[in-house]
Amino acid sequence: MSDRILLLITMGVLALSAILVRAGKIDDKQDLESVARCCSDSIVFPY
Amino acid sequence: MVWTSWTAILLELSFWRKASDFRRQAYGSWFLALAGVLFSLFDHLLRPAGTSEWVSLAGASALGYWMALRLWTKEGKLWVTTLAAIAASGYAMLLSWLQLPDVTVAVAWAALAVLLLEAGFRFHHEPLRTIGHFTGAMAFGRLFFTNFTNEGLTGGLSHRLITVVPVAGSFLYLYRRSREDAWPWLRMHLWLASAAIAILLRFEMGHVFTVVGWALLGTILLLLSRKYETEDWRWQSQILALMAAVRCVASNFDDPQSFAGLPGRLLTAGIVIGTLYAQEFLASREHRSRTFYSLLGSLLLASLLYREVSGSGLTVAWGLQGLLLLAAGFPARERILRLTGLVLLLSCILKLFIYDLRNLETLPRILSFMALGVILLAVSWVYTRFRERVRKLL
Repeated sequence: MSDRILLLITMGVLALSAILVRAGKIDDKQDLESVARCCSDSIVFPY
Repeated sequence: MVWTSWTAILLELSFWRKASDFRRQAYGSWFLALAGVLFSLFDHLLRPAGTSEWVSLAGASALGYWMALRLWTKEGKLWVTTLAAIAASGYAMLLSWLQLPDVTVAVAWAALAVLLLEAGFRFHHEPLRTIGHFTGAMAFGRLFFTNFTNEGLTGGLSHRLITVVPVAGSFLYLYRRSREDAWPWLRMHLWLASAAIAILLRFEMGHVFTVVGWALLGTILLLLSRKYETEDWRWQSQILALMAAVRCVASNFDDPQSFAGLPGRLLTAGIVIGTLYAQEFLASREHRSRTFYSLLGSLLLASLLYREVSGSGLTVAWGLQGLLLLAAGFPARERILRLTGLVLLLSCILKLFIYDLRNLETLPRILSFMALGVILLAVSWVYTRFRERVRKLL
């Protein structure tokens, strides 16, 4: 597959991703607490 | 925005009149514009961004790229154009951060990385390509701030899935497109893509089925490594196999849930063990990774038996595992399976004399000795009765 076609596919998928997010229920949050939760949930095995 | 526009005018005048004074003034006002943006950024932390902010950033970014391009094509100034491109990219990233929904910021940065790389190739500007790769790495870092823990949904699909997969895909594109550069550090894109997908699987598949996701991803990476002869994917596959096995022992063995009447711990550990043995046979015969997968699978199975079978039956269970490994090792021509089987049988003998003889009740002790004795007799019979055939298989 040529680089140009791959570029089109990559950019198309990225654009589609942004459009799909816009069309749905957006959860708008960004904070350091989220980063900490992300890291701890990945490493700790809670039961 | 006005200072950046003034910079562009001064720059054009310096091209036209070939006057160094205009050029110095252009650089001065450019510096002021940059300082202004930084000041606005800190100011923005105290109040929400408005129309003026995004118009200013978009204009400054577009003009920055345009000036970088003019300086490069007209005079071939590498360092100034690089700095201009860095500033313009910073404006563009800041703009998307301020204006887009949080979860799509990483997507925008990944798109910017791809565009910068393409521009770098188009205008033969090496640092611009490097900025593109760096922007891609920033997009990966950004995923941790919002995307992995995001709760947004579109048509039943999580925004985690919708955004992380395309960003991971863009890393693979950045890697493939840069194959002419042959910079060793570009292999980081292969690691970023796999890491993004592995972490996504952790959040998408939940506590219990993460190991299944990792095991399957490891298998896919192993197949890719064989097809494209990429060492990095083989290493990633081995790391994922190890992570899946460790998580099985540390987390899944304690899982209290059941799925379709089957305990979750047995279901997930069974899939991981099966995948590890499958990976052993998928890996190249010339490579040591076969031994790694085989040992990991056998170790995980032995740990599962240790966890599931009570003290009196454990020796028999391990003995049966050793026998199965031996039996599978002959037709598969896998020396490591046969050796693991023999080591397990030897461990059973040691356990029998050191632990079982002292700690088990009379009946389980007798049963353990009898069962292991029968297994050992069967093994020795196979080795002597079919000596010639075994030699051929070896």
